[in-house]
Parts: sequence; structure tokens; C-alpha cells
Amino acid sequence: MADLLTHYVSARLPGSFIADPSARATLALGVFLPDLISKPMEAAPWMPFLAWAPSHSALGAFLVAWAIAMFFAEDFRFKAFATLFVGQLVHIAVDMGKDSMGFGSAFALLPFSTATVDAGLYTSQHVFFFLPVNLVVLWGLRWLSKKAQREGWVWR
Amino acid sequence: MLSNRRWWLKVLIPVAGFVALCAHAGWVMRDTRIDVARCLREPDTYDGREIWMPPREVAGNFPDGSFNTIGNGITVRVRADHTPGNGKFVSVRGVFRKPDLVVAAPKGLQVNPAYRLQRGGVYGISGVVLVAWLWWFLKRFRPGLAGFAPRLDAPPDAPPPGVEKT
Repeated sequence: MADLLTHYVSARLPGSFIADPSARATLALGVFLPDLISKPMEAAPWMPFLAWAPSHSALGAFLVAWAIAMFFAEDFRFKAFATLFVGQLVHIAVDMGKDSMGFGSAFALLPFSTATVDAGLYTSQHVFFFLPVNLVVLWGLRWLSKKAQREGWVWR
Repeated sequence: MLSNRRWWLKVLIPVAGFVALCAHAGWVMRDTRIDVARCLREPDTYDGREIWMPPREVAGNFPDGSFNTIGNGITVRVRADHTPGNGKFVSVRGVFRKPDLVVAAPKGLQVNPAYRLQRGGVYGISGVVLVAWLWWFLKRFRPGLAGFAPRLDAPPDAPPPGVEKT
């Protein structure tokens, strides 16, 4: 698991191209969701090993986005669904970069395949290295976001 | 929203689908990705199978170069090409050998001397981010019986609240 700041920063990149600040907030929620769902499931002693895996899969992300989008007002529901779904996909992509010695932490193609991608780019130990890097990247993305809004390169 | 039966159905369908996916994942991967607790319960069945162990604390070394690891109240002996010191945390990928030994694969041992600090950092930073996000979310959305509705931004020329526009 990368920390949620790293996941939030990864969501700011697609978020820069969304005009509606409310949709940016739901995109951030989407990027947090896989860990918010999987961590309590992992900790529950009565839960089967790896039962949390669908929280880190595309189909699981689709179903979670659908369920949570239903709690938003009807005229915002589609935007909520789309941003929650994309946010979760971004989270899964970031987790695929992790080094878990080949075990993998994102089962993107469940239930069709149990294969995982383990790019080996970082481990959880890198959290303290990520902190200043994240803040610099966040500052850069803030600039990009403002430029995108100004130039009209945004989803309305 | 809450009194609408169709709304409940539209929530229950994806929730049921997700629960089914979780049950399926737990079932399908019970024999392909095995946790160490199962190996210790059924050592004859899982002897020689590849397993992965999330970080566990090193607690005691043996003269043959293997060492004990403790996690979730379960003690497992590990043999690797080197022996980390007591109190360090290790993640292991290797082969289970009955009754309670895991032989680490080459490069199958990750040693983490500051695991607790690092986990504390992950959860601490994540907690701060979540609180900040919640504050932002409640600023952007108005909860109501029709669900969370985005708050509309005031137009740039709007007067401050409580002041009549002249």
C-alpha cells in the first residue's frame, strides 16, 4: 500500500482536466476507496485470505463506483460514478508499480484472471522519500490544473 | 431516495455483486496463493508449495542459520541466504517445508529495519489526508434526502451572504 497522499497526488493528474471541483472531490474519494475497503477486510480475522482482492480489480471498482454513486443526487450521479471509477483505476495502476516480490497487490482482471502486475518500482518503505516528492509534484500539478482550466482543456 | 424501492435495488445489485466477487476471490485463490496459517494447519498438504508472507518480526536465530518470525500470533521458521537481526521485520517469498519452515527463494527476503515507523508514517499521513479530504468534500457537497448534491458556487459578482445586492 502506498500512503493515501501518494494516491491523492496520482489522482490530481487526471483531476487537473476536470472543471467541476465537486467531481474532483469524488475522483479523490475514488482513489482512496480500494484501500478504505481492503484494509478493514484484511484485518478481519474471519475473512478468507485475499477476499479483499476484488477491491483492487477493475470489475470490483465498477461495482463499488456504482453503489457509492447511488448516494449522490441524480443530476450528479453519472459524474460521481465516472470519477469514482477512474479514481479506483488510478489507484490500481499505482499499486501495480509496487515491489511485493512477485506476489502483487492489484488483481486487476479478477474474476477472469488472478494474475497480478508487480513492476517493482517502490516498496512501502519509500513513504518518507515520497513525502517531499509528493509535495513538489502536487505543486506542479496545481500549476498544470490552473493552466488546463484557463485553456479549457477540461471535462465539464 | 431512501424510501424508494428501486433505489434500494440499484444499491443492492452492485453490493451483492461485490460480495460475490469477494467470495469468489477467496475461493479461487485458496489453493493458488496460500497463507502460512493454512500451511501450518495442513503441513502435509502444502509441503513444497510456494508461499508469500507479509512483514513479520524476527524473534530468535538458530545455529543452522534459520530464524524464527512472529506475526499474527503465529511463529514460523525461515531459512534464507542471510540472517537479519532480532526485532527487524522481514517479508518472505519462498517454499513451505513441513512442519514449520519456509525456505526463502533467491532475492525472496526483504528486510525492513524500521517497519513500525514506516507503517505509522503510512497510516499517519493517510489519516491527515483523509481528514483534509473530508473537510473538502463537506465544503463541496450538501447532504440531503436526495443524496449528496454539489453546492453551487456563487457567481463572481454575488454580494457576501446577508447583504442585499443594489
